[in-house]
Amino acid sequence: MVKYVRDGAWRESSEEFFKKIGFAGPARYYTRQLMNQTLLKLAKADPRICFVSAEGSPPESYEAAGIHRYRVMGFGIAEANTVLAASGLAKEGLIPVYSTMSWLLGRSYNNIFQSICTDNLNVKFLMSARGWAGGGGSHHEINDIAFMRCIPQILIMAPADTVELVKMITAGLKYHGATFIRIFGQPVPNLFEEDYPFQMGKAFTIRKGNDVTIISFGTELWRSLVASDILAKEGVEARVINMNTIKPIDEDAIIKAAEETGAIVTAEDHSVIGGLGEAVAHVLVKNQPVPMDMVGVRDRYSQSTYDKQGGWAILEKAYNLTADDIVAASQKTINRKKTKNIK
Amino acid sequence: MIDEAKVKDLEAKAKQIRRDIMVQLVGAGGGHPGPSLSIVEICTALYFSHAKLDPKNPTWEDRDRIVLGKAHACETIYACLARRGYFSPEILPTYKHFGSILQGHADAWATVGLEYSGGSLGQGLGFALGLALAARIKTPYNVMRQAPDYKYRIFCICGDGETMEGDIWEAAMSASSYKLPNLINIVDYNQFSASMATSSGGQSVDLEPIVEKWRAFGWWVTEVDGHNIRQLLETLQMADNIPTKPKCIIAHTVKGKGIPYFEQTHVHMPDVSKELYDKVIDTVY
Repeated sequence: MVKYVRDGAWRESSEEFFKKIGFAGPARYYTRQLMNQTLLKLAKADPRICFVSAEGSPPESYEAAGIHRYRVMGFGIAEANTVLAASGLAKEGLIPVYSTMSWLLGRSYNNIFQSICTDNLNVKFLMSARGWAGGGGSHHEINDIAFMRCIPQILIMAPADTVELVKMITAGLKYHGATFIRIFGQPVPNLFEEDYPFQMGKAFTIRKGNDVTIISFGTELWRSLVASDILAKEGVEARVINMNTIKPIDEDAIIKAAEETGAIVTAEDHSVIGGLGEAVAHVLVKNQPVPMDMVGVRDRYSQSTYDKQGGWAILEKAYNLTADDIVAASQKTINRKKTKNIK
Repeated sequence: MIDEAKVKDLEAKAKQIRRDIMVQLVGAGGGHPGPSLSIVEICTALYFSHAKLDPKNPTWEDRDRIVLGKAHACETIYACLARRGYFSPEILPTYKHFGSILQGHADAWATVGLEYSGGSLGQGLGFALGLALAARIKTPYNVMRQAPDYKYRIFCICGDGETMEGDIWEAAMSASSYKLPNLINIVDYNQFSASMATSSGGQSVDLEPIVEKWRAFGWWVTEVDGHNIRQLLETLQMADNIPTKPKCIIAHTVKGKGIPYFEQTHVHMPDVSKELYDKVIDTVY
């Protein structure tokens, strides 16, 4: 087992995990609580940090934590203006944090492109996937990486569990430049120990193996570990890599994995177009082309489901994001590797 | 009272700025003479009189901030920055040349003295709002006056066509909700957008009643002859004394003002050849 990874954590159900830590609510509230705790702690230590929102928490809740109300600014249901104001705040040396859902950034895309990333304005976008499940297709982030990746001077990261979430937010707020952190909205098991050495821009291998490499992030990472358990029963040892930074991507880790394992699978809660898969393919094709397959939403719109109906279990099956999909993709690439069937 | 000698001096500067615009246009083979010429007096009043600036210290914390929302009218700002001492006027003919510090639309990363990188319209006002809110955070609060002791102001220059963009009105609602007194928006009401008059009926949107619109959004509003420097200075001074509202100055202007050829043709983005330059350069008034 790899150091810093909690062996077998992905076999534990989220109910067991929450019972253990003494938390009673749904997973996404736990994530949000943790996020807010982290942000308040950082904001108390650094007076440049301020908060912008389109209909977010009122200043009173921040004042209770010692953050002056001028540092908490709401802009009503006006996401474009919220981002514009954040860019002005960043120009003045402040560090505005905008917690939102990534599909809303489409409304501000023009400004993110022509101003925020152009001038390396220090705006922090914490995008939580709260919309997945009940929200329906309009609320599901399946193409946000695609429309962000192609902007120069942008930093895009995604944590795989709550330990990585806290470290990523802390590192992201220290970094100077437009920062996008894509945060899960569904229950994820805790994969990492508290002393996990998270590093921005550096992939982390969480399982050793040489038959195939599964490169993943966020909510697909623990599913990749479940998949690798299934593959291990068939005698296939998968390397699993946490690509927590999608841009700039860790090219060396990808090339090394291709050289040493000869078969790559990517897995992401995102369209197969424009996301992690294509980012990895870009590196492989230029440097070390090997059989490759991508697990992700297959360029389709998604639909609603709700927690009591089965929530994530329904969505992951409907949109090909299950551990079984990762297993199938792995087997396919290994066969191509074996038969050298690279058409 | 505003000194007549100062007004005359600024009018002479405005004429020089118009010549500098032509130098940039011929250097680049074209540009935006119409929209640039209509804001010459506004910019002259700001850069050479009303705004607190230090060209030797472009990031001076207490400087007035000037945001050009209509970033295509950058020719005017570049001329003002050069004549104000941010960089040498000899750079003006390199406008739009590859590698020049003078980009085709105002870009803060390229040009010293610019605050905002623009191009797509309607977004400068929201950015200016952010600057104004940052001032509120950073400025010491005066307990007696129950307000921060603002040391500097934020000016935004918008085109009238630009105020068709929804982002403008999001920012307008927010600025007045925050009662920000340190934000002054100047609308260059030259009655034209790129291809048509702003009152084209079914072809575009009618901006009238423009004063009532800004007032309804909670701003202090006044109108001014945008080519009368004395009026502009007096209005800007008046605006400084309004305590708890953002201010909007609707400046009535003429697209292409100051060069008869461009006043008559209303053209937005023409080619400018050496021949045209020679023809119009001495008609600047």
